[in-house]
Amino acid sequence: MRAEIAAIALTTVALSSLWIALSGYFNTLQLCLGAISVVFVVWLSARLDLLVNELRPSLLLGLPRYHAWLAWQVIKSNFQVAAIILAPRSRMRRTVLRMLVKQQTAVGIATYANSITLTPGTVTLDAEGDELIVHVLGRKRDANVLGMEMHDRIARIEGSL
Amino acid sequence: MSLALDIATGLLLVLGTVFCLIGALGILRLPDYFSRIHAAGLIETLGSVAILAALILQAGLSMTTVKLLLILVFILTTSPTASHALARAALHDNYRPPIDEDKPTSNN
Repeated sequence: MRAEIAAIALTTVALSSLWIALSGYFNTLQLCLGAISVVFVVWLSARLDLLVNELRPSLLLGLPRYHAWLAWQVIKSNFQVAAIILAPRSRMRRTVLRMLVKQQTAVGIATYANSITLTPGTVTLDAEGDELIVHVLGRKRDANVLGMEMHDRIARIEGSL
Repeated sequence: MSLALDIATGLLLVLGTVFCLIGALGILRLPDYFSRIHAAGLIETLGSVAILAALILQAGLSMTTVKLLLILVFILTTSPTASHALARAALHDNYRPPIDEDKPTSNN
């Protein structure tokens, strides 16, 4: 029950800030319309069982650090893929890799698969059991090393839950 | 101060434009569907992020910046999902990704 109230409160705060950020008006009509929309969406989410509170204090510290690291990896692989596009075609290497997933929560698995796809040069094709099938443009070993480090970093954040 | 800001804006715009161009070139030049997804990835990551960052520098601390940041977040969360959905759709349609065998270097 307490977890449910926390989830409802969190969703309400998040949706209200989104409304205020997007509208920018503070007159009574706008705020009332916003409040009605927020209540409606929270009610819909509750009916769809979407109000699961997976936010933990450790995430607030761990996730920004992970995203900063990921941003740097994305920039680096942008330059690698740009070099592949501009280089003679004979130097191109395409492979398909299988990467093991030990993440437990849905958020962990989604973060891992999305991080792989967000990084140019690797795209998650499919998930089979506890493996992700990844298409790689570039060197197989680099993709493997990067994928493993991503996996371990996410697992560490998950482990602190 | 505003000159430094304008120079930084210009550099980011050039960076973003160059990566959008390289991405577009890759979509035309790469030989198969799956490797072209990687080229599109260039446009949706560094291309769009650099251009949006340049716009944020010009918008300063305002409501516009909040909206630009929201656009950034939505692009970065939805585009991998879209890329994955496209790749998966192709795979489920029995289109297998072409693979380059590593040329053996030891015996030869």
